[in-house]
Amino acid sequence: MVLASASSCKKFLDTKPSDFLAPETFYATDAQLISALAAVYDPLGWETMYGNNLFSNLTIATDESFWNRSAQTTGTQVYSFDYAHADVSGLWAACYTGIERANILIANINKPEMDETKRQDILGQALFLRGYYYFLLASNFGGAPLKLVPQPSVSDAQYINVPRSSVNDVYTQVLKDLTDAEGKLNSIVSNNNAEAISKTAVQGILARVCLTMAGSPVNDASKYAEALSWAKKVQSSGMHSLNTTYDASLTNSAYSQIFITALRDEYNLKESMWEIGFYGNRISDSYVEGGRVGNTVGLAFSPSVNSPDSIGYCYGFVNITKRQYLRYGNGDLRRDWAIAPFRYNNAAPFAKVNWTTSTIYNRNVGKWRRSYEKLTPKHKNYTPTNFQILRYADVLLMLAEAENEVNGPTSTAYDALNEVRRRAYGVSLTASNATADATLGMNKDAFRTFIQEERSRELCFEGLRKGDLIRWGLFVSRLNEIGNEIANDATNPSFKWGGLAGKNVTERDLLLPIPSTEMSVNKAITAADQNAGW
Amino acid sequence: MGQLLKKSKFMRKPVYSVFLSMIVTLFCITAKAQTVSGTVFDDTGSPLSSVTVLNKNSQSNTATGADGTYKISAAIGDSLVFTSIGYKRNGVKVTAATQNLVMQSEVGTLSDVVVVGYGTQRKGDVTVSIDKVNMTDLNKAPVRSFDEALAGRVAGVQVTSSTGQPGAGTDIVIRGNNSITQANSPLYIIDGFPVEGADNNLVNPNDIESIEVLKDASATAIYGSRGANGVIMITTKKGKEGPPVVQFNASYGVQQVTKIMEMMNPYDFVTQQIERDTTTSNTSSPTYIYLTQPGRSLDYYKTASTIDWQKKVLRTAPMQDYTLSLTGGSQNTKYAVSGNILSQDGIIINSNYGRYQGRVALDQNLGKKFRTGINANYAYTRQIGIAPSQSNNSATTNIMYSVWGYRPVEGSEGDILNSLFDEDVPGANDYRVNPVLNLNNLYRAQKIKNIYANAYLEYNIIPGLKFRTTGGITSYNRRSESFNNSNTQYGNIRQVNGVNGGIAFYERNTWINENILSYNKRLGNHNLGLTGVVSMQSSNNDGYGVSATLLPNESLGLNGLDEGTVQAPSATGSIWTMQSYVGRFNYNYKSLYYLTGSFRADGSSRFMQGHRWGYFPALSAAWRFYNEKFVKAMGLLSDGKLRIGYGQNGNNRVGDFDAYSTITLPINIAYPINNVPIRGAASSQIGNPELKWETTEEANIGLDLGFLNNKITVTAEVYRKNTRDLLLQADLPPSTGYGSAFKNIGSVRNEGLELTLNTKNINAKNFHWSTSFNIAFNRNKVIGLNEGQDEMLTSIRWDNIWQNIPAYIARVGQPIGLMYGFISDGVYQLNDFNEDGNGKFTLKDEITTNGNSRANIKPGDIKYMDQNGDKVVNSADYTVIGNGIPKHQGGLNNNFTYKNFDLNIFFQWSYGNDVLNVNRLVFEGNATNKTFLNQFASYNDRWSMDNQQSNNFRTGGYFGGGYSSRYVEDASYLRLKTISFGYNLPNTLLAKAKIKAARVFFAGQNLLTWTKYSGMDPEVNTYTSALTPGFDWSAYPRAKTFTFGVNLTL
Repeated sequence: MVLASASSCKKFLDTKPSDFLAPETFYATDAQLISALAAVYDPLGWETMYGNNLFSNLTIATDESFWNRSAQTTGTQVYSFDYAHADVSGLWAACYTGIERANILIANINKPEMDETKRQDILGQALFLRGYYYFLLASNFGGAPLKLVPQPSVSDAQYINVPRSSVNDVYTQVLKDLTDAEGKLNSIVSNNNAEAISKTAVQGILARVCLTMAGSPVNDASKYAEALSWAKKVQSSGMHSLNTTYDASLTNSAYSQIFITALRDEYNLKESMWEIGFYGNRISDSYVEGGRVGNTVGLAFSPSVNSPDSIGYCYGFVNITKRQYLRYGNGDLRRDWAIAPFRYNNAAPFAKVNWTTSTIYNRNVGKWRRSYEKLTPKHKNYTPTNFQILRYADVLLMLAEAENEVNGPTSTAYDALNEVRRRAYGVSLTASNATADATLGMNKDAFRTFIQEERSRELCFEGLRKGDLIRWGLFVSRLNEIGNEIANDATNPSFKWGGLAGKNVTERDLLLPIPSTEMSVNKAITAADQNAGW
Repeated sequence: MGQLLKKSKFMRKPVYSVFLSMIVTLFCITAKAQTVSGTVFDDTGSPLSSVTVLNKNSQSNTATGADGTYKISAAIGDSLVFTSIGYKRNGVKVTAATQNLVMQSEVGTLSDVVVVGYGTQRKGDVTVSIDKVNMTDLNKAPVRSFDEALAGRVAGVQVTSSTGQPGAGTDIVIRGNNSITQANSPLYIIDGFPVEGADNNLVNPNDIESIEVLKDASATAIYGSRGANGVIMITTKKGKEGPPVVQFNASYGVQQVTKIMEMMNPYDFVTQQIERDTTTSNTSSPTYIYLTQPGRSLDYYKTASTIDWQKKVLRTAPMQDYTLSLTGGSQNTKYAVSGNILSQDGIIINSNYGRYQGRVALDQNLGKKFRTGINANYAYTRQIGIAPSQSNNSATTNIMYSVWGYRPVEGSEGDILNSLFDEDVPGANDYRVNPVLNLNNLYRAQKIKNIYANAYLEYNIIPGLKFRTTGGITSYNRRSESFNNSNTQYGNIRQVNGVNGGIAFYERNTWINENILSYNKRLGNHNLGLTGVVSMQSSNNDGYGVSATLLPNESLGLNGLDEGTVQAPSATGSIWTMQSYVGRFNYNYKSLYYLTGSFRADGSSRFMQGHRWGYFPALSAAWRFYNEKFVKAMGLLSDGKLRIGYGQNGNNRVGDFDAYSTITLPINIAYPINNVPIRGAASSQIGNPELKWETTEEANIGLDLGFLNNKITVTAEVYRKNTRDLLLQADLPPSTGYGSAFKNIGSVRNEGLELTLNTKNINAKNFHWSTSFNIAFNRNKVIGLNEGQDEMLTSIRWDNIWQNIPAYIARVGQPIGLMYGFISDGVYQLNDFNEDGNGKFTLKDEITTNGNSRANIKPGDIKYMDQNGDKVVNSADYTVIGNGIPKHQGGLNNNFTYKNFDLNIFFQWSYGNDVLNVNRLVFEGNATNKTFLNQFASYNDRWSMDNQQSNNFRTGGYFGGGYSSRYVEDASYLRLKTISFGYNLPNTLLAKAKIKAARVFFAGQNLLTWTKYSGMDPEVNTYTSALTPGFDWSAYPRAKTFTFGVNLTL
């Protein structure tokens, strides 16, 4: 035994893991690459991102809406938080988890023998996702550590302590990854789904990135032309159009149908160009891919017993501002869908109770109404509804905005804008309509202002408003204004506290702070490197 | 030895044997057999019962009675052999009709034998810090497992039972926490078999022959990479030469809760509810619910009957324990067989614990040179009942939340006693349920089957040189079952999972082979001992589990799992191996100067090549100055030894493959495309190929003194240990893409002083009194943390709202695990405000806020100290608010015997440690702000305009933001841990029943506790870890136990 143990010593201590795979041997087949790609997408669905916070806590307090809980006196929802807040570190960590996963996939992309088109499509998606995570970092945090290869070590200081790159350098990388991806990806038609990123969706996101760069704080005005060019590429692809039909048994407008389609787990590939996929509701099977679309931001329904499947539980965390309500003109079908015109009674028989014109601030966001979900039994907190990140309506409005900045309020700008407005009024997209169409003859500034309002009418609560206000340089002043407006609104005295977020906002809120989880361990980011005011 | 060999040669010659037998025969004829009698005493001078007395010549035997006396038929010149468990075998030649004898105990004095790693030593020769647990005292009151009675027995061994749940483990820490994020529990060596994280319930305390605690590094370095947290060596009983001895121990006890919390009565409850919510209009307002029914005025509740939920949930619970054992043997064959049945009901309804255990130990001589033996133990244990303290998510799911918080009076609707819900409580975010119904229906079971078996073969090569090879296996199987029917908190109609259940299996198989070569040689005044060991060990484990929700047929129980929505199964598997080489020498000169050195090399599969082998040296020396002529001449001492030691040892408590990078496909990583989820493969852990042992260096100085013929013995030890290269789950910058990785980083220092005093106070003919006392001081300090980090915050997920709020801090230069939060400053008083004449109060500008906005703060609100002077209390004002580690702790044990009576009184204490009493956060002011939640009666005293002296904030006067010193309480305590009173039945009575000895006893455990702590029990730690000591949330209440029992020897 002594001899045996001495001779076999080396082998004896070489145990082989049986519960996981080694990175060295993985990525050997195309199926394993696809699996690795799913992991790159995965963080987008976390609650720290589009699972909740990016359309809820982190972005909801704007001139459109406020957090509907008087007890919420601290937190990201009311811009009273510090760099230790979990919403902040959660977003940061989710981005970098996605980036690391993308880096690993990109580094191993050539390992398996496989169909080259398929490989390029996977690579394109991974590049896009890395670029998109960096876009979220740049637009939310400013400059950030740039990492383009898999984490090589846990102890080598140069890979642990990575300094912030400048915000411009991060954006440069975003554009590089996204344009690389654009050349490799399949079309949405061949994908035949909205969850995988497609060529036109990348073009749309590129338009969004370029507009963001053209505005504050980067202020690179040359990017308007690029944004215009990307938006036009989407337009000219012929693959996208606004939805103009609806199921009359469910609703009364084509606009509302877009959201109902998502709630019913269906696609509208013409209009909804990229969606974060959610699946199941955590009780239908063992996946945990249900999200919270419709559950936190939506039409409140919170009975004490299990909520009836006909309606579905919702916290109704977000109410709308009077300003948002007043933005809509008569006949604009979007208003009473985006803003819930009624509430549910929480006691049986759970009747709908209509709001009156004196109860504006009481109204919840109405875009995502869980009563349309098909998957039953409904979970209290999780829904299968996809989150729509990019709609064609957004592309048209970006096109109009960029055209106006580059060439002024041309007919191209007007056409794109009016297309969106005509759909909103339920009239033909191609024929002029006096009620629906934007006032003719606006100058460049007036047109810009109109677009700014139109974007809110069309895209409210979809997680875009905060970014829009920031790039237009309006964020702080507008929120302070709204804060006072709500707090001083004599017609609706019981919602005075709703102005808290607006009153709290200062210049520092243009960016989130670099989270304490990073600051405490990354020695290359010191207190002096923290964003201003944090 | 040489003489013995000569003798046997002599014996072998037939002519001499014949001659000898003739003489013997002659002698037998001539020497008249007569009755020899006498009394057997133990080394304290007390009469010793149940000692087996064997006449080797006639093979007749008897045992001593309760008064220590015996009578046996023997002739002058016969050899009598006296044996008793726990005492050294003793033989005498009969020289007179009265033969008195003192049996030397195997424990308690400097001359005892102690088990050290890979061998035994005389205590007097030990150069390191080893404590032997007095098993006689430990077994005075029947306990389920030895660790339940270990607290306070050994200086420097901190024993905390986290809760009072039957079968729950204890947390044992020797000489302070070394490790910050990893386990600090000692290594257990059970009959030579090393076990990390042993389940002590699997060993019957009655089967334990001895427990040794190896405390300092020079003692534990022999266990190398696993010795840094100290070593507890458990040796079970072996057969002893002599006639069969049957022992039967039986006890029956009842357990009762040590303390219940005083809750608000109906009147106080309703008053407070109305104060909390003054609205009257809606149907869910307290006024509507309690005061609108006919005949229901506030006065009605002064006489309304109280529903005492604590009384309904807590009960007097029986405990029974039976052990039957048979020991005996001849010179060549020795055996010990025993069995145990234990059944313990928990003091919370529908919780209990059971054990069925059996053991066989067999030793056989094979000729002159070989010896072999086997020792096998089987145990089946079953734990039923939910752990009340751990939250899934919301604190409202904890058992005690419902017990304390449930409405104490009938309301306007529903049958509060028989309905699962309080219909007035909104169920969406409050999972409160009728605790009686819930507990009676919840099913949680843990069933464990464990076998350990080891065998040895010993070969005496030449005198002094011995080879021993051992092989052992353990097989541990655990089955965990849970079932939530529709009458439970987790399976009721409001729960999205519906009726649900799950079952999980875990299996661990371990084997070890050890080969020990030892050599002992005496050369004149020089004594030398050498030991060499080669050891191999391997362990693999697998776990599988399945669960299902929305079960359509709850009557089928777990068998209906297949009918529900099946959840993702769990499947895990792992393996580790270890190979070790050990060498040790012991040398002493004239039993005066001692030197011991050891060296161990460990190779572990948990680390990558190049970092796999660790080397652990130790050196210790002792001067037994008592044996110096000049000391003896002084006549002051009866023993004296100075010890000094230094050693290095390690800690390898990381996962088996934590050094590796991994790719996994867990169910929670996926992305749906086309509404079909695609499983994601992600790098879930980034490896650290540099990972290696955590190293602890310790220096120890000890002094052992004996006075007055060892009537007084004193041991004092001082030590300092530094742990470096901590195996730390170190935070990484999230920009790496990972939250943390294992690194060897940081260091911790522990230093302390331990004192042990044993005295024999009175040693009169009929009355004996002896005392032992120990006290230990340990100071713990973080020397370094992760690079760039000077503090590490830990939050506790007892409730989802609190999951990100730091509760503890580890900071460089301070002890691990300090409590962290605001310093409480009472409540805001009227003079903190400006009043505008209309009753509107505005906080003065110079007064700090409490985190709430200035305009919203009212008189009577909770108030904190502003630490940074900005007049705003927020997370920047967190500071250290408490320390969960005691300044000192210890025990005081007294043994009295008077004639046939014996009495043992044992006190145990802990001084200077704080507990974070989160129960008060919820039940003394309702900080979680829940509707219709009953409160502790202590909250009847709360601030109001009429009661401005109160230090409790007003109803609704809490504002969130963090823990505060308000909830930190001094949890020092002194506990009357054990009283045992026994009576040995007189021999005259027993002789008729053919019983050799019988003792009946009464014992009490945890009878009295003196403490200022306001919660149920100061010994509590519901979230056990080095970083989070002393956290009290919804702990299983502790029981006091009254036991009657009998010990019979047949």
